[in-house]
Amino acid sequence: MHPRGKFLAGHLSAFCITPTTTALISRNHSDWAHLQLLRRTPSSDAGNMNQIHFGTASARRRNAMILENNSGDEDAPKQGFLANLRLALFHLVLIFATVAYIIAGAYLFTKIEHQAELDRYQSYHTIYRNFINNLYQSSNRSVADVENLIDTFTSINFRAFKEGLKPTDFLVPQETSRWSMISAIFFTTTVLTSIGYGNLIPISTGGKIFCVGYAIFGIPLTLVTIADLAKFVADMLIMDPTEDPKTGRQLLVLVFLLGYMTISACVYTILEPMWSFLDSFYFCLVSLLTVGFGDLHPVGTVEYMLCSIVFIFIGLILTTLAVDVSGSVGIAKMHSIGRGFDAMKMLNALRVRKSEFVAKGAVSLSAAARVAGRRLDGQQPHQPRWFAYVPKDALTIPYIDESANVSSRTTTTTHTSI
Amino acid sequence: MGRRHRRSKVTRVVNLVKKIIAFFFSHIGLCALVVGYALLGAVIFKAVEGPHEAEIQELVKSAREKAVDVVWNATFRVNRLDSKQWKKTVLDEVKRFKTVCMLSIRKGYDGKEYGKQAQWTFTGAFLYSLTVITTIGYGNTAAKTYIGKTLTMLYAIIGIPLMLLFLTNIGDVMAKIFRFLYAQSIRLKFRLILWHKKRKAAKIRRANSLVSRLTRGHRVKADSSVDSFGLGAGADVEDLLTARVEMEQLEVRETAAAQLESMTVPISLVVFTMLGYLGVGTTIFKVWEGWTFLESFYFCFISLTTIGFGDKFPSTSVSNTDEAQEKLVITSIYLLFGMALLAMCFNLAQEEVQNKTRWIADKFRSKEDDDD
Repeated sequence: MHPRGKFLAGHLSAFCITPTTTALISRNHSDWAHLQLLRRTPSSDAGNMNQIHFGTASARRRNAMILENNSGDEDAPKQGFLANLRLALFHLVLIFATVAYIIAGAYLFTKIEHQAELDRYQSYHTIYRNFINNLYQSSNRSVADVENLIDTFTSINFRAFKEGLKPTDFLVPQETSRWSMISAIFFTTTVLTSIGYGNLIPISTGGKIFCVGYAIFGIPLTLVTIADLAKFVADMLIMDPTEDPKTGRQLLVLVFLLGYMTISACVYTILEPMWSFLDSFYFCLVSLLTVGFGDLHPVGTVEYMLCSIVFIFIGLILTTLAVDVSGSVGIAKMHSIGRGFDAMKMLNALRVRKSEFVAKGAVSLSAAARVAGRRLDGQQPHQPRWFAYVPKDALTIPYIDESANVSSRTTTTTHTSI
Repeated sequence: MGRRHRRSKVTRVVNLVKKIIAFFFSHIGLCALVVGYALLGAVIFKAVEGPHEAEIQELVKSAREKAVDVVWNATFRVNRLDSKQWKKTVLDEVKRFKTVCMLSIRKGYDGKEYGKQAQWTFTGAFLYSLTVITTIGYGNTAAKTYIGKTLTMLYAIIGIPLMLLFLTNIGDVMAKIFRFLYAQSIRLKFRLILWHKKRKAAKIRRANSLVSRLTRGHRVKADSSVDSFGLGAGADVEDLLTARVEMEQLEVRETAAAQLESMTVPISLVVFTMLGYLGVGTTIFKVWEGWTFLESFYFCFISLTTIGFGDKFPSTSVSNTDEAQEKLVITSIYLLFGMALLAMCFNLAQEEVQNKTRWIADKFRSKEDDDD
């Protein structure tokens, strides 16, 4: 029974981590992920919901931490390596799944689009050669015939260009294709991260259909992986005891992200001959925010493209981390703004009610009573009791008038003493 | 008493005003803020990139006119003397014009005529602003000047969080509405089932009354022992049927309560909603742009997932005619609403996945407890 219990404990910890990982989707760089993070709004009802969610999230994290601690305590005396392997196994499986998905997709895209491109090339090349032969065969033609031939050639060129072929492609034999393995990997990376430069796109029908299906299943996988890695980095940051203040951590993350982008921009400025520093920084920012215009995109050797892919992934993880930390601080600030808003409203209400009282003592009395009432009630919506209880039929009881006055005087003195 | 009533009324008025301000600030105000920000971006980018585009177009036009003049002069003068010299002059001029064209294309020339067509119209700039803050980024229209690129970076840094806040807020509201509608449909379904079962119970009760009447008629004629036996049998059957019908009604109510308590929308319904929205967009763009079904669906999918290759682009929206303005407005609304709908669907699907994962975890935990 003991080995089975150990196995189930491992599975239990894995499944308990999964909801947290799923919740981490909200910390990713993409729109879907950011939506969850920035769901909180400054309205009061949303504030309450925010507090509930925040408590739930913190409780879940505490549970995850407790589970990890328990598993660590249980496994520590037995085998430390096994414990570390189990802790890292989930992250490694997720990374491996994403990388495998990217490479498999690249391979399939290469198969589909390369064959389609060859077919298109053969077709247009045949048309082109037939046209050339036809033009050369009959030397004495009328002007109208020559113009028709030129118009036909122009329309053929336009159609070929629309389908991805350029006239210069016909000058040399078409041995290498634009859809090489490395360019396909770059393409699948930009699809899954929803950057989408657009310099290389599927043109055939099969390629487009496959692209749609590929994105439907691949984008969530990529979001989960990046969110998981961002959480891993965030935990490493939290483990530092010297970085307790949130503002310091936020500043550190933002400075690190800016430094990363600046260094990357310098590297691209050196490697790309046509780009200035502003162009490089522009490319880095547009890529890491997943806007991806595609007017600037890296073109080069295999190593260069692989380094670009690694740059994109690391940058997205840092961006997700920055949005996570900044989002937390932003939400806290929104809460404080909301409370300030309430305070302003209360001050306005006080000013409105000030006109109802003539004596200053009465004003201070009511203010003190209100403050005391609020402290006692904890901002509940109950009506505050500013004075002693007076029965409805007090006027009809004549023998109580003097005692009532005496009791009100004693109440006044009590409040003034308070 | 009058004073207390007045104070409570004042307090209620203050609370009401507070709620109204919060609602405006969180929902309608946020929509207005996003639209205003996009319009501001349109004005800025048109002011910055428009003159640059006009300058480039004028440059190309001047170069073309100069090339034509040079070629014409060469033809007019040199043709009578030496054809080799003519060819050399013409080829040199064509090469120079080609160089000017290539440089202009790198700076943003796109083949449009000076004074007739322009890429950076107000509508084009508006669509560009929208694609920046939604991170779609088609790339057909892109900033070319240093000021334009710098402003694009600043605009994106401020606008993208604003857009995320907007989508989160609207997505949350839409998720609540969707869940409410789903709950209402469940209640309606179970109400119909209850009504059907009540009708069935009424039929059974009527049949029982008929049987009892027949039994009573028969009792008058027959002897007492046979009468008591028949009456008892009828009563037993009637009680059994009534109890069964009541149990069925109770089961239906319990099922309805359980489903309403869970309050999770199934993933198939979410996926169906999203596919329906994509279908609507596919139809619209197919009619407008003359694309095939696959191309329209492909464009809608690539846009709403914010990949935005830019190979398909709603080009007829980017001009200055009134019809193009309407198309631009509808395209913008489609994209914004579509992204909010996608956020809603993702939200609901996430809840469903979390619930299932928690259920699996609980199952494993209970299994472990049984083993222990």
